[in-house]
Amino acid sequence: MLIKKEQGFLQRFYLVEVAIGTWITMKNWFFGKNITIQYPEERRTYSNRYRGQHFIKAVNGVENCTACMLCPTVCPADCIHIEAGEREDKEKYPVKFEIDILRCCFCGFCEEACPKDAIKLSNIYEMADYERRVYDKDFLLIQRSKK
Amino acid sequence: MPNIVVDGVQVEFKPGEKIIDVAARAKNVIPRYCYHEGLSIVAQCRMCLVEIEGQKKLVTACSTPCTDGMKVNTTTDRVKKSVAGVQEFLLANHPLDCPICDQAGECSLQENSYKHGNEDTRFDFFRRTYIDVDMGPSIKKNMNRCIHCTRCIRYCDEVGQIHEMIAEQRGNNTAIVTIDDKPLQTAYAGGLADVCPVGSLTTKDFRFKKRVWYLKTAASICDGCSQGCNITVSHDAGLIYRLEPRENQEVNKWWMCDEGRYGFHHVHSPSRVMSPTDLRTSEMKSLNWSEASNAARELLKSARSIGLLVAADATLEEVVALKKSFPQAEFFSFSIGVDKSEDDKATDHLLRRKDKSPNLRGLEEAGFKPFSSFDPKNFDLCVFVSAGKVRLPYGIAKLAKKSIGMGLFFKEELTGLNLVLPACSTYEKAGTFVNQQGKKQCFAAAVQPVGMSRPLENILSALSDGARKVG
Repeated sequence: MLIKKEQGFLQRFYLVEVAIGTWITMKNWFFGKNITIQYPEERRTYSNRYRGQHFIKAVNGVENCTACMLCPTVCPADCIHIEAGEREDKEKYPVKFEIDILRCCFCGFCEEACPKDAIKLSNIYEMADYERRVYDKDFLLIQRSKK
Repeated sequence: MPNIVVDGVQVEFKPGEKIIDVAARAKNVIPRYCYHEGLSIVAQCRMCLVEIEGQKKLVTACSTPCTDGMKVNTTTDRVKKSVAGVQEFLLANHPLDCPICDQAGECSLQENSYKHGNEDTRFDFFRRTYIDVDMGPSIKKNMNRCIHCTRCIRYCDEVGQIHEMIAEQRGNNTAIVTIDDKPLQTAYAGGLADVCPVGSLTTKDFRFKKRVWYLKTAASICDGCSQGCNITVSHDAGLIYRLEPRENQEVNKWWMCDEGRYGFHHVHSPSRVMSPTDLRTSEMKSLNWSEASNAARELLKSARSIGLLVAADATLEEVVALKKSFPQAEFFSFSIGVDKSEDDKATDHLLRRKDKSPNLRGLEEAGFKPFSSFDPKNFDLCVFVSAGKVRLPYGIAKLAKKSIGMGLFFKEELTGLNLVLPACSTYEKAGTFVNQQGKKQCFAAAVQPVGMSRPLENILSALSDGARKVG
């Protein structure tokens, strides 16, 4: 059932209500604070816990990752692909570490599961590209976080 | 039958049985490291301690025989404290490298730590470390992870029957090594990785290939020799990663040899022929299945006498299909090592046999003649069926007037063949083998056929019209 609201004389007169509305708009126009910013010159600051682009942490040039496969195990989007190998200075390391970024849902479970603190999500949120990219190990190893 | 009571549950036992086995039958798995059903009992890990009513001390369930009316408790505070203590001592020196260790996911130490251990460690000194020496082509050793259960030493003595592993030094410095650091001699070295409860001994073949929690398993039969060992095929996404023995007291007990264990790599070999191939002209041509069955029908139509040489790893089901499809043809079996199954004999003390095919006895029962009486020149058309690991004698197809190859072929084996129809390997098909004891053993398919390969029965039914007109 439609509820009919009783309106007073001034409201029915209409012109006064328009004037009041215009006053509110003008008040925000002249004295209000800007909500938009001048992106990309100006940027917002995000929380340190923001989940953006991935990176693999490296200490002294050696990646922390030991290819334990916990991140692909926990990944709900099934977007991490790792192949393990062995080399002189490290018993187990990822020969291949790929993240299909288009599949990723940025849940951050990989970061949480990682026992070696290797895979992390940075504050970078500009991930637009001209092609469908799969992040490989070399790309992920570049330190990209704010640190 | 006499009874014991385990945690309030009454279980029957045969005289002489140990508590640990009887409790396992009542679904009460007592934690253990050094105890293995197939090995002798040493009772040295002290993990299986249980309380028996009326006895002052805790006793090891693995070495204590049951007596009638015995009341065993595995969940009292005393037992729990003792087990947690043992667990803590083992973890004092165990490295926390589960992310690297291949055993993670099927590790007894991990499982028992979750079930019975403390949440944290109180040990903040340096952990004991060793330098590892290579142990041969099969096994990779990581002594730091070892918990000194000595299963491997007893395995080498009792299963491999070569005394080659020993415990060097003693106390905290105990090191499990091969004598004089020699590589392992035994043909059953891969089993060390199975009996090792931790990741101290792992196979080099499976090293870092896959984490075990991804693997799916299928029950199968090893096609390496006429013993027909029961195995578990671990696979994921259509790829086989490892074979492990499956317990069968009448055939292989708990064990399998290395030859069988690593004998699956041919399935995913890059040189395997994966699509029907026409070799009648000078260039190799890949066909689709309808073209291929037409080509096969043409070959079959023109032949008046057909001889089939079947490698003895065809299943009984495939044998029936072949017999039905070629009612007039002559059948010969082929096996490596022996010509007839009566020549078959054991080549060592445990499992390995001279006959390197899984189903020679089954083929003979189906009326196949031995390979020695096979002469390809007697037939207008020879059909070579290679259904698994057994490789047909190289170049035999060159002696035949015309020949079709069905089954698993490699690119380097194609000389002389006119047409190849790719079929399944043992792990891609289901069927029945008859082993050397005459025991019929069924197995299920583990993975999907590779590429365009099809089960032999399907190929034959597509050809059947052409085949029945022949002869």
